[in-house]
Amino acid sequence: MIDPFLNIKNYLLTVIPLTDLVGDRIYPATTHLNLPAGYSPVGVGSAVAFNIRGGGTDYTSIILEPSVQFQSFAATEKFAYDIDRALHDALQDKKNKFFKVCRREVLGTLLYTPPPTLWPYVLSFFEFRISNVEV
Amino acid sequence: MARTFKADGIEINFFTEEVILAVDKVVSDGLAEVALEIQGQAVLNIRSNNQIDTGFMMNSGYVLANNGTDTYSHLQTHGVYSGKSGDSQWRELADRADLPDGVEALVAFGANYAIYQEAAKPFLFKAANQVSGKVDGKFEVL
Repeated sequence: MIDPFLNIKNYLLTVIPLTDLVGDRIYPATTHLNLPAGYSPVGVGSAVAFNIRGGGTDYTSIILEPSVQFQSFAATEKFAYDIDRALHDALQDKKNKFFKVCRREVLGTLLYTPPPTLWPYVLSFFEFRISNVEV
Repeated sequence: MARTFKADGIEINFFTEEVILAVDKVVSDGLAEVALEIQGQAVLNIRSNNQIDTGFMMNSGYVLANNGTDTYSHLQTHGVYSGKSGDSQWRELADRADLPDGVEALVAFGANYAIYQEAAKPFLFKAANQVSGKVDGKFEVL
């Protein structure tokens, strides 16, 4: 099986409007609970963490259909939404060599990490269709 | 009211509206059952994910459905609950969600922090995936 995390990360690293906001801080298989040690939006910079929350395959087993959650971390609420909007533009209805199509499942919701950090982040979900063939 | 057609000495009664109503009721009841099963599976997932402290979130699941199912009123309300370590924790129940137009049934967890737990270790989406594998037809998972 291919590595969907790698496909998604490699694609997002090619999206300049997104990397303009978060640099290369795109963390696969990551949630607010396992961000890289020492990470903070103010000290390190804004970031996108993403994780597969479930999904399946199509009937042929050739297409993987993961539902992926994205958490856009930033120093301010507005900046977090800016990243989420950049994600939307990067993913919605897009198809490329990394995935066959992507659709947003849920619009972004503003949340905060648990105390004591209370960093703002926008939580959103996208469903991908990814060919189970190495690119 | 049946529509009756007669031809060549044969009488045929069509109970179309009655059949549609009966099917609608069966579908509505069936989807409510599916929603209740998802809620039950989500509780099992919360246990297996080790996401229990006071148990408030685990017991805050409810189902709304177009057939009249509404289990929100059975939930514990906000208040102070004892955690595993014996400390007291304030727990808050969010308002009852509305059943959106066009949606037959809804499963929600009312603990106001459930979204954080779901984002960290999905228990509800996973439950929907698990149950959808057991039932025919499609339903929307958000």
